[in-house]
Amino acid sequence: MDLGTFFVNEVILHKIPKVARSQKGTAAPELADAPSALDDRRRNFFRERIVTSLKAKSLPIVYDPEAGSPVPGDVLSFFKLNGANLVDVSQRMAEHLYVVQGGNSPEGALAVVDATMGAGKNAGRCLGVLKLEMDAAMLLHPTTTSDGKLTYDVRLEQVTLSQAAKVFKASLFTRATSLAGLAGMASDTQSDPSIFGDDVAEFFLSKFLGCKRRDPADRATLEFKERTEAAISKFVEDDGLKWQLERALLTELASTTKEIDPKAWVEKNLLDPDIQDAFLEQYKAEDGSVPVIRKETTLVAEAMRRRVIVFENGMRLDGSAQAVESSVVVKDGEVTISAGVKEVKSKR
Amino acid sequence: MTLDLVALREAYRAERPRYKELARYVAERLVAGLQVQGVKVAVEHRSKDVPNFLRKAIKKYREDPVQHADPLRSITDKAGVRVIIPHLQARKAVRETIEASFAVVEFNDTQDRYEPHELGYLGWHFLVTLPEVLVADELLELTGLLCEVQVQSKAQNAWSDVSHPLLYKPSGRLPPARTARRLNLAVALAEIFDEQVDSARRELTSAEGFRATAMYATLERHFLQMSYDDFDSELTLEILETIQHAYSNQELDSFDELFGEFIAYQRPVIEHIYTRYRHDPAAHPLLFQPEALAIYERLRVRPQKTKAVWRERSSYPTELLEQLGTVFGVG
Repeated sequence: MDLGTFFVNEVILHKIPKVARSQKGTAAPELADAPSALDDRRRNFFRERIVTSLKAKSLPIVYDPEAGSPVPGDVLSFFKLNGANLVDVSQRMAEHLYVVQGGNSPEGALAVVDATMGAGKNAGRCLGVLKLEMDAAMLLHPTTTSDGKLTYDVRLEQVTLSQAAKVFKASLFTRATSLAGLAGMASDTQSDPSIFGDDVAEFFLSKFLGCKRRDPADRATLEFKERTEAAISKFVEDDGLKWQLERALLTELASTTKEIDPKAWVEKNLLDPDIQDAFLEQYKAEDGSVPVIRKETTLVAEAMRRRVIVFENGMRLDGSAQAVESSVVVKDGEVTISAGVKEVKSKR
Repeated sequence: MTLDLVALREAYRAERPRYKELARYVAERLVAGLQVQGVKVAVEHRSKDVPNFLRKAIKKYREDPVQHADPLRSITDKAGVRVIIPHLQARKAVRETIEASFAVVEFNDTQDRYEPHELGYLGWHFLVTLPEVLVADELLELTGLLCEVQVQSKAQNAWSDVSHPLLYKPSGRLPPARTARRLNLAVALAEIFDEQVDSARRELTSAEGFRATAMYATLERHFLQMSYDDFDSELTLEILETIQHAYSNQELDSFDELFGEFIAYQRPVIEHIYTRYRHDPAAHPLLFQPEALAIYERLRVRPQKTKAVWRERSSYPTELLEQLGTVFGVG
């Protein structure tokens, strides 16, 4: 997805109240009956919010038949009717969001965005679905159109960057003709476990959007490991740094975090921006984005296994299980190492 | 034989709307053609008004009654377009555009009028007509009509504007020698000015240590091809002084080529973004600046390096770079 070619045509907004799960029946989303009136500033405002969100942290997604959400069907129907049913589709999405979101979710809005992506003859319709929190930069005021329909007037305020920094969840679907072919991108920059629980992404992605990550987590984690090792070998000359990066990679894979953000990993572990760029090139998906990976270490577990031999005189031999097992023979308390010495260093 | 001024007035009055339309069309087409070449010029156009035409007809008839027996035909600047170029290097692009857009009936470099020791009015003059094969049906009635296109540098234009009334010669008398000398000195200054600016420009775009200036020339050309907006050239140079450090020496050596390839690929995207933001009052302040193109290219290819260079070398906030990246969907 080339986000530079993403442009907003229409936006319809529905207010989603904050209601405790047990009280859901006492309230309802405030549904608009017509898209909001937009000028260039407002169109670009929504565009920039979506791009910012997807640029910061995104992942490729596909339809998940096991999630049971009606949203994929609505997305498909939107494309089938070339956007003519934007109002109906968006209202159903808002009602579904209200039902599935937790009681702690703050008051917000669902924005359903009729947009285009691609340049020239490659331009095509796409659909954005955003869950917004109200913030100082954007205020929604209910109003009625000339034919008496409820809509929301979007008022943009001049605010400082920190005031406008409220983040949100965004997703973008490209045109599809079948559920099996439904694909897009989703971001989740609203990661506050205190509000949504641990698995923030899964609420929005699975329960609401009815989608899952395109790349199986175990394959994606293995690819991250392999690409990182290849990049270390190709772009890092200093042996000390190589060793540090190999350790950092293993630490990342072994940590308890549920995701790996390759960009964050690169920024944390490499100082030289030229090498950072070279590494990021390795992680790029075919559309040029660097997706966040859901960590699943089944396929890398073997490679992560370490073997340590501690000698009586205090010496330690530490290496990957694979390397140690293939090069070290322990027999009758004696150790034979059959690997060439690359370097001997003194350390304090 | 004398001129029938009443008949001439009526004939030209009837013709003039076509010359007016011709001058407008030639100017419009030149601006469009030069935008494709990435050259920013000022273009003025006019059709000679009726009293001016009659005065010129009388004067010319008096000078040469045979050649100017039919002033409607012999006077060739009834439609006139003046192209003011920013520097002499731009003349080549203007000439190419004129030759590609019109049928050139006559070309004069006024410098050819003078002996080596003589000085005077300078500029390129073209007499052009609309080529029948290239114009739309509604303009067919303009084909065959002549339009004079003058191409001058700013200095040449300033000199001719100021000296024109001074050179008016009552009864064919020459100005006093001292006055003539002053006018010659002024035209010499205009010529020297253009040549010095031209040389300095050439030297700066190829000199070591002036990479930003060379980048500027390339970026300005591509920018003007997509947006004819005025921009802050000082700011462009200032930001390029920073951004140049996001390129390797090898990339800077082939910047023109590298950037040409990038633009060839990304042009539809950039043009679309320009269209969508042109009327947005909150559009990013650097968007309609040539250096935004270099920032876009760098954020696409070397995002980390570009951000590091900006953080370390620019006095502008990092958000400015980040937000521009958002507009282009990169970084």
